[in-house]
Amino acid sequence: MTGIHKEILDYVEDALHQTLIEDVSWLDTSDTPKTGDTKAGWVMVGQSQGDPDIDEARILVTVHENDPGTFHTGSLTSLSNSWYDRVYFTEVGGVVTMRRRFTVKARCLLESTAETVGEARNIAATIRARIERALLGLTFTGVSTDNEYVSMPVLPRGLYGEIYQSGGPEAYDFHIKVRFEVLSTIRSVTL
Amino acid sequence: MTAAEGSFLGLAKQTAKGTPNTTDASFKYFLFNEGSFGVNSNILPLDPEVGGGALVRDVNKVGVTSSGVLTFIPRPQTLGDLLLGLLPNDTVTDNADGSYDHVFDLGNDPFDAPYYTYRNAPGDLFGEQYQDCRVASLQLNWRGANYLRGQLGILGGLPTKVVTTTWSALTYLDSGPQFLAPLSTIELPTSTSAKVLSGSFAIAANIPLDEQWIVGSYSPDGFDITGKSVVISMVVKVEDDTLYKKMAYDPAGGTAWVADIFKEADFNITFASNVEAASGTPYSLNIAANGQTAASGDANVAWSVSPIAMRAGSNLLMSVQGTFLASPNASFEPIEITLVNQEASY
Repeated sequence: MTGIHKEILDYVEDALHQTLIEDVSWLDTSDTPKTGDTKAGWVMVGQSQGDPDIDEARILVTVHENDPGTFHTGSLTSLSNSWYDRVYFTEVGGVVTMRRRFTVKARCLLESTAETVGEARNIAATIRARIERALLGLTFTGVSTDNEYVSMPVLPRGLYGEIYQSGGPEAYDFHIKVRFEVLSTIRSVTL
Repeated sequence: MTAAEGSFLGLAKQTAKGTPNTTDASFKYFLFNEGSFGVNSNILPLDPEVGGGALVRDVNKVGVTSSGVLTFIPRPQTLGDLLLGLLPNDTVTDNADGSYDHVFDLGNDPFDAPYYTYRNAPGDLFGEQYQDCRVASLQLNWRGANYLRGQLGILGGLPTKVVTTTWSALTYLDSGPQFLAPLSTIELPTSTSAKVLSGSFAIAANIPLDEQWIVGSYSPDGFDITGKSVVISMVVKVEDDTLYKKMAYDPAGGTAWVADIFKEADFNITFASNVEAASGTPYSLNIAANGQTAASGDANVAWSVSPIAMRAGSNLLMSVQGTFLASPNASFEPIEITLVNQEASY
């Protein structure tokens, strides 16, 4: 038996891996920023915990249940209100539909030796746009467990995002956060 | 325990009027958001009589029916039973992959409809059975970024209090997937996407009871259908004047007001689920009229439009309404609803 959170995280991870890495060519230099510069280094579920290190990944994308930033004080985000799962509605007969909430975090550690501040900002904006478009295009077809399934894909009204720039003189360190939620229906609930 | 969520509501088709279905395995139980279903006793007070005093002297039950009104989120399996209740002809195609296409239409007798037995267990405290029920109305509503939602009206005959010990409601509960507006398509006419914010599709059966109360019976003699109506309404974003001109002024697109009504029956309204009935085939619901274009002269949906709504701070919107008429060409059914699910038959 598995849980719906794992199914959703794995599905989103695969989709973002496709969008941010596999669909991005190193060879296309016609765009600004150059397409290859926007290729993410790593997409994974959960905290990287130093593996890979951001210095290696350059652009590191992680997918989380709820929002880990709400658990830690001093986190670099203004999206700090609670992002917990909650019941959306129940139906007479024994079904509960839940708001399942997740966060995609991306960190772009870009260096002044490789790109200017304008180019770095462009890269970060491109990464964020790709994440948001990818999430809004997901159908979650087949994402289910024994008695729970995703009944509504990413709700446009439930999409939140922000970018924060930090970093010292030699580096442009962009932190991106995109929160999203889906609805899942739990069957055969004795109410 | 009196939580409403612990209630059960089920339905099963009867073989004939007057023969309630009591086989538990025949029942499908379905989910709903809110509603009520119960006994309607016709209570008659005694007429005021000279010398009778100030208060009513007596009341008596002189008739009984059952009825229910529900709001619910349609599921692909039980939606078929509700559609059959108003469009009694179901043509089934087995796709040989686990999915089935059900095409519901009026059939040879448009006044016909099956009878159903409904079961209700409020809070799972006690059971009630309502026989000889017919679907009086079914309305499907949609708006962007939401589920397809519904409202159901049922009218039926004799209610009976029953035990629920043999009910296996959770086993036969239809908790299947929902139809989602974001995965749906509305084209008016076909191949021209309409930007629809919200809409509704309503079918109703006219079941007058005035001439059904007969001497010698507490229950109506029958629930005969004397007419059916089908209407579709939508709130559409206005981005050009093409559709508005055709509906408000001239079906040919002219600028002068003419008496002709814009009739267009070649449109595509399809609701889909993100869950598949078979690999590559999502559960879906398609609503169609007789499929004839305005140019053919045989279209059977008459469209009208309300004055365009103008509100500061919001987009231009117009409310359109299509009324399904009898098909001028007998070769084409006036209404067909196609439901794709995993149910082999109804």
